[in-house]
Amino acid sequence: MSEIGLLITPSERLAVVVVFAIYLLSLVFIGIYARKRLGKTAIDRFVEEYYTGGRLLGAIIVAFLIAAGICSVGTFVGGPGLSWRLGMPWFTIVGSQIFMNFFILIGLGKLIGIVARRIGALSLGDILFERYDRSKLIAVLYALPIVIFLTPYCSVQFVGSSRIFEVMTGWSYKTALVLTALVTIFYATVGGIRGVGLAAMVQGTFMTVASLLLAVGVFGGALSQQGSFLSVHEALVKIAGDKYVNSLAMGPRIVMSWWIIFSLGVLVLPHGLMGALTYKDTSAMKRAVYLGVIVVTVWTYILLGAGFFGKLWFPKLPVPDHVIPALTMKLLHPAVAGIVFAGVISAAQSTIAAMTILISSAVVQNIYREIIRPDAKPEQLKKMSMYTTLVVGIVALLLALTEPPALEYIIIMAIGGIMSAIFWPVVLGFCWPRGNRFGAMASMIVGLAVYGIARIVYRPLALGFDPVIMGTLTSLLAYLAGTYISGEIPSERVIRIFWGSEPPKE
Amino acid sequence: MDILRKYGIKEDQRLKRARREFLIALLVWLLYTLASLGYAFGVSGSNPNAKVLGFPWWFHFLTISVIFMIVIICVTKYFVKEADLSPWRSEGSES
Repeated sequence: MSEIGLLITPSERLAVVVVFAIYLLSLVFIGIYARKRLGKTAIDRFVEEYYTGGRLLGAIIVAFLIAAGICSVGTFVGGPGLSWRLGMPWFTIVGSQIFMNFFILIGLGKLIGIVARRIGALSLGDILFERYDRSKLIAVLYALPIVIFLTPYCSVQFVGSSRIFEVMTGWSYKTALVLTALVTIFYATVGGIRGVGLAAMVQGTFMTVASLLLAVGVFGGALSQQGSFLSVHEALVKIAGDKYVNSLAMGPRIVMSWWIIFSLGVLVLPHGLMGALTYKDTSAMKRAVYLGVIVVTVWTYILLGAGFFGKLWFPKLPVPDHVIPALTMKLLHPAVAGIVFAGVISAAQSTIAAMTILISSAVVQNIYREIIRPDAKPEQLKKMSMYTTLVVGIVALLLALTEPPALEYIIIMAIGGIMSAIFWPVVLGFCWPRGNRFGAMASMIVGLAVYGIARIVYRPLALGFDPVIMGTLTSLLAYLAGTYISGEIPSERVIRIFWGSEPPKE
Repeated sequence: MDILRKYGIKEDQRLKRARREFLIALLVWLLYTLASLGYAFGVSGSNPNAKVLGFPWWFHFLTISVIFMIVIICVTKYFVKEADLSPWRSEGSES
């Protein structure tokens, strides 16, 4: 990274750092403000307020909670890195994720909104637990992939943001890492989902401004250098060859797999679905879709396009993930670069915050409250919620200290694992009254097992696709088999909650 | 749906509607997938250096996305019904 860090002078670096310090301070204030709101909450409502903002969040917060929660360093660092490295095979699929707000809020959002209010659900895990007749095994099977896959996903975010921080300040990777991490863990832990949502709004704004500035620098730069998009194309082919502009250069199967991961896979990411638990009414929900679709499209095309165009200036880079910081340093004024870096780190922090809250809810709600201590008192839950959020953040930070390489591949791996495990239990749980707990258990176990085997042990099992495709398909078969072979019909209570118009008699 | 009949449960119209909207969302996704990947594989298969409407062909991923962005906004605006989110409603009638 140092070879890029040397591009700016100390006084320019100071400008970058000042802009960034203002951003970090505003986050600390948000944490404190959200904490005050939480302080006013009655103790028995604390956990609901902490994880769902009392289900009263407005359109803008919900839009950014989803968009900035899911668009992470994947979109802002790792994805552009892959565009730069692979060219068209990767760039072909970038459009797949513009669906996220629409899919999450229109696909499952209204169903979740109504059902969650019926049972007081604080997470997707609570909903699955109720849907499958309060099976404890379901609670564990849900929490397991969340902890296994989201923790490395989360630590990748720390790595990405520290890489940027390192360039900006010239400090060591570890100092940068600990500082960015502490600020994020602080506002997520003390502020709960409202703190995370408010911060996401600020971060979303930084991300948008950063994208636009970068667009001016990169696309403006490319056009003034080459004259037109057609000559940009020719220049890229000259530098990187025909395969750089050919979607089929790596075969259609892997491209199709990625497309499915970043559209359908994103639908069941529990930290995205948190948005569906928090919106206050359907009009806020709809407005969160408009705003979300627009900002995600803007971020995605600018950042991933910038990575693709990056070959013009950087035919060779030691690490592909460096393409965005390198372009920023080369093409933008330092004060402006500070804003871009704040935007990129925002992308990471908003995701880390959403995830630590989510992982903590999986542990506290789905393991502790539902299995270990069903009689837990509100005070205990309050303490547990905050301490687990803190612990999760710290574990992810410790993982990040090992400096894992290739950000985007870890993200693909994580989304794939979660999709293989819970896609069908969630989707069929909402849409098929017949589906029962045995189907869901079989589906989660088989999906995870097949995914793990195809990913780690025996790659040919994936048949040239990403392992997620086999995992998800076998998970569907297992769901159907489990449901039909056991022959059990979900209880009347479940059907009333998920389909009926009158409450179950209890 | 025989399960609902078996238990004598009247379906909540809001949930029924929400499930239909989920199907619409999946349908839009499918069309978008076919359009984007069909376009990408179609052009790449014949000539990855093709020009389309005065731009390099890959530029039109953005065009396709913008078209679908508008579709998404219209579907959300005109097909997705506002609903009361209170947990239980006695008649299960549509709002």
